[in-house]
Amino acid sequence: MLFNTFDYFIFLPVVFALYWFVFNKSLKWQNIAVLAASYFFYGWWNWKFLGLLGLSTLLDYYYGFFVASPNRKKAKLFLWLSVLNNLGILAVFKYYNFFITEFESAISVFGIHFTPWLLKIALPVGISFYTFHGMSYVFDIYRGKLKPIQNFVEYALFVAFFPLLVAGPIERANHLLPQIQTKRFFNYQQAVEGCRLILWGLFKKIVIADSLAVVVNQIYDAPGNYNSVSLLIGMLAFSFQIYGDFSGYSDIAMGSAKLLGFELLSNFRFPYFSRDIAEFWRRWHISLSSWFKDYVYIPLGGSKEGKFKAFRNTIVIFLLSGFWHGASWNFIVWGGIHACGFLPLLFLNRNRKNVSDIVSEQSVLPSWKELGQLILTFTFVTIAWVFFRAHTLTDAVQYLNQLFFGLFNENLIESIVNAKGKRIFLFIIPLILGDWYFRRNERQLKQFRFQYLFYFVTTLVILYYFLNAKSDSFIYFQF
Amino acid sequence: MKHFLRKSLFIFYPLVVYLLLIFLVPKLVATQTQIPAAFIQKLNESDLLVCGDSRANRQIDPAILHKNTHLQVLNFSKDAWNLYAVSKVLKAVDCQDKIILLSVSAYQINDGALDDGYLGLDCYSDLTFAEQFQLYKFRWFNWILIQDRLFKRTLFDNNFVSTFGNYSRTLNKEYLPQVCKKFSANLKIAFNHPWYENHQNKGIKAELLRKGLANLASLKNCKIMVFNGPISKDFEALSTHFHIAETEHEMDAFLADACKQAGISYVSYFDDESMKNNLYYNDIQHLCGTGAAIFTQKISQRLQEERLLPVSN
Repeated sequence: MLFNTFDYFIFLPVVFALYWFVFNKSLKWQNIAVLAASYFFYGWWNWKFLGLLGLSTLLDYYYGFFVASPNRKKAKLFLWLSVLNNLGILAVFKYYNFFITEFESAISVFGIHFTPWLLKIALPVGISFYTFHGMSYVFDIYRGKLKPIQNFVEYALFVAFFPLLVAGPIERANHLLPQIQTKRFFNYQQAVEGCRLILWGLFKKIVIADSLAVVVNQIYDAPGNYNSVSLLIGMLAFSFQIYGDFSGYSDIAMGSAKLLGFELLSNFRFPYFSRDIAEFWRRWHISLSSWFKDYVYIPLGGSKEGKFKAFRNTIVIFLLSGFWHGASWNFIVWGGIHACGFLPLLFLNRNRKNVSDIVSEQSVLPSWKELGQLILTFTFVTIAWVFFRAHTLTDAVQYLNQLFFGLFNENLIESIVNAKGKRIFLFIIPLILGDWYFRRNERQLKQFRFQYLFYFVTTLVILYYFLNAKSDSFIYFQF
Repeated sequence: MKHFLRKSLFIFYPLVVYLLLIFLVPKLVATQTQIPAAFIQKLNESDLLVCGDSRANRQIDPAILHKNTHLQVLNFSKDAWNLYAVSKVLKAVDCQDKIILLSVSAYQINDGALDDGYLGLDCYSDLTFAEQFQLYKFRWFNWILIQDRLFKRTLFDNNFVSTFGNYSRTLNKEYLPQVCKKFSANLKIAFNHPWYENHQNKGIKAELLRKGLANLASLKNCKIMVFNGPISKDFEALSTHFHIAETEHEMDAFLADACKQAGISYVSYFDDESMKNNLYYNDIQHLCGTGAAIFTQKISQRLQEERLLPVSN
């Protein structure tokens, strides 16, 4: 089930009503109800993969007990079994076809040819998210941060909680499990915040991201048909499409969770207002980057064992992060580009320069220096997105090639006049202004004058775009 | 909680306002049907018009028809273009002295076939509110969707393609035969086929089609032949399941009767064994280039047999 469908707007109020009015007397029944709802939510997409979700949950649940063993050798063995199990699921369903075709083309260089057997099934939605939930649970137990949970329903709910099941945020066991185990009480302020987040998330997804998607798809599907300014517009549009799409999804997820009394980890904190790449990664898909930091970067030694290891570990997590997004060289290169942006900062010890604050925290507008930093970071990120969005690496290189050569060779005025998709600015500008206005308050929209008029108009606009066309699926569903 | 529930009712206000807007604006704002001059000119230059839905769009090759009949042929059909909507266009341009070849498919008389495209705006907008309600009483989300499209067309749309068939192709005089390929035919396709959904063949859409035939019959000096297309062997095998064959035969009987009353020729190729070879098809019920060539030959012959062509042919 998608968040931006009519089905979800029947599903969510029904779950809300059952949760607070029928099962509110018992925590156990509340958890069972949400777990059943989560499986229903997942099965609505494809019930055949419910078994895989159930199996993955069950295995990690049992691994948890073994990993907690005081016998460290045994614990380590089961930790590795859990890792193999989760990565094995990912390897089969997500990466098998990629590896086998790459292997086939590699050995064909030596004149050995075979027709690889390919898996012809859809990638189970959310597989990268729920396997990472399972791994974080087992890792935390191994490190002694968490005790294995006795109640299977509580653990299963941690893995399959519907707001985050298919596209995150990737929750931590030590953040979500205590909430699952504690009696929840309805909190008016939390529920209102939830509704606001859902509304803003829908606006970003349905109005902004889906409208930009039309332009992006046209330009990226046939970049050769467009002039350089159109290609520039296509790049810009994708930067904001993916942001609107994914952060919109995260907002709806957080809003839905709030309605049921849960607080999820924040996934985005105005990433396009970052002053360098290091800050960007502290603001973009935070739950994934912090997952890699905690469970890969730090166990590898982090930055504590000298510059060389810090460099190596940084490259590893960026490449892994890219590969996590999909079985394609595009994503690996995309990760590599970001690593290239990050390493100079690490070398100069400037990677933690902008950790605690947001740009222009004390002023309305950024200084010239800050503006320059924002533009530079955004440009870097936007160029990297070309590798993320293009169909192949060759397409991405051609896209950039055509763009840069075009900018120098074409008549710029003519290109601007004839450019495709100039209307994207109608969608991008409100998003930038909205984010800029709220940047100090993170995601909490506070009360303000005429707020009801604002909600009224926003809902009307969402309805207009919602009914306008078949809404695109969320980009991160494919991961 | 009560306070929250009361406040959350707020979500219904914009919803109600939006629903009022989409239902009232098309009633209050009159829209003009514009017909592009280039299209009329193209129409006037042609002797034989091929129109209708995908069964004409992908299956009738105008070049073959021209070769066989020596007439100027224009195929301006469009996927899911309903006979009633075609008749509106031809009436609006005051079409005269033409031979008209028109495809029709089962969704055009099945009141259950309401998914996107299977009841075009040109048909929907001519229904009374009671008829619309009758059609959509159990499919109210589909109702909102089509009403929303009508609302947006009333406000903004100048897109002739939706009204005038395959407009861009018409002007470019191109015909794009489909690729012959192996296609998948399984019960799931038959079961979920939107043409045969909620089978109800004698309702509002059937009446609309009858009105369309009357419109066509009133065109001056026009000779008209309506046809139902052939299907693949695999689709025939599926059609014995559910109610597909039943629906198709009901449509044949209905159209044979309605066309006879309107003085229009009708021919069905649904049971034509010679066209059932799977190799002729692009999907279970649409011919590919090879099949279209054979089928167009058949159609040319049939036009001759029905004495619809000028005597010189």
